[in-house]
Amino acid sequence: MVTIRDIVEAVDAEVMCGEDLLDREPQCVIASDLVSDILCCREEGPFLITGLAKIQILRAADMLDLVGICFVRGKTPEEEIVDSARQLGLPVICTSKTMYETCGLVFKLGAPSGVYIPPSGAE
Amino acid sequence: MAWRERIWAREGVDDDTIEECTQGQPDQVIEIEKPIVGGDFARAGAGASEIKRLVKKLAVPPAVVRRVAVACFEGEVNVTVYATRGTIKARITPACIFVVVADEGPGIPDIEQAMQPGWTTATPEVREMGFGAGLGLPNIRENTDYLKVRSEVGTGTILEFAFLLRDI
Ligand SMILES: Nc1ncnc2c1ncn2[C@@H]1O[C@H](COP(=O)(O)OP(=O)(O)OP(=O)(O)O)[C@@H](O)[C@H]1O
Ligand SMILES: [Mg+2]
Repeated sequence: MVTIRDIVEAVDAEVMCGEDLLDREPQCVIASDLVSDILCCREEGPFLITGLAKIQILRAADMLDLVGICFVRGKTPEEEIVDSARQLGLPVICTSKTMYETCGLVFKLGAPSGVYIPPSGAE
Repeated sequence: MAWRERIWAREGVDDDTIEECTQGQPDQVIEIEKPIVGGDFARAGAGASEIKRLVKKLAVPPAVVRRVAVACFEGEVNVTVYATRGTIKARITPACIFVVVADEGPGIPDIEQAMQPGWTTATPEVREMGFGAGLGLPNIRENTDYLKVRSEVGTGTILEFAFLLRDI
């Protein structure tokens, strides 16, 4: 199994909070910059890779019980975001790598992709 | 202008099912109501968060908790983004979780179109906060056993949705 600590090493990330939670093993990994897209994940225990360092992401994290978040492209989350993450017991890590490279490196570790079921339209 | 209405429900679920499962002795029923302020993006989802915590405490299965959380969140965010003000109300009985998200706002001119994945009228400012995928309403439908959307242009929108806790 892949731990968040493995991800930190693979993408050379800085740990913003949740140092004591890095042994968590994400059940799956998802990557998106859109809140509603993230909320289409139907699996337990997802780890999120995102380029959107906004408080709205933390709300989505709360709804899905994310096990951790990685902000990419050197986006440093504001203190408010890190505080919320701390309250939720959510490790937050930051990498200067791009979304593409981060996903590639995490995929190579062997972390499974989250099942994404896009909602169907009205019939 | 007139009120328009559309209902989506899981097979075997209709208005009578909902009427029935929302009943309960006062000591078996829990209600929670939170205001929603249009434009207050920092707080968007705060009500959904409280409802989620409450439902979780009641030992509802985790998969149902997630469905409730996602649907409430998407309903609440839409009020924040598109309406002036509103409320989110949850009624929890032994048989179901029933949620009403009501707002005063512009209303939805074409409910069918709004329900299409990808359809959005989100502004660039709204998109910058990570919204505007056009997935909120269809994902509410996907996560609920019953969804009624009512709306009048110029007046507002009312979403009613339910999660059944027992087999029907
Ligand atoms: N409460 C509401 N009042 C007025 N219009 C609404 C309301 N809710 C939804 N709409 C309209 O329906 C469209 C589709 O809503 P939906 O939630 O599916 O997607 P979105 O909000 O645009 O993007 P996303 O939810 O993916 O962030 C909206 O763009 C908006 O035009
Ligand atoms: Mg929406």
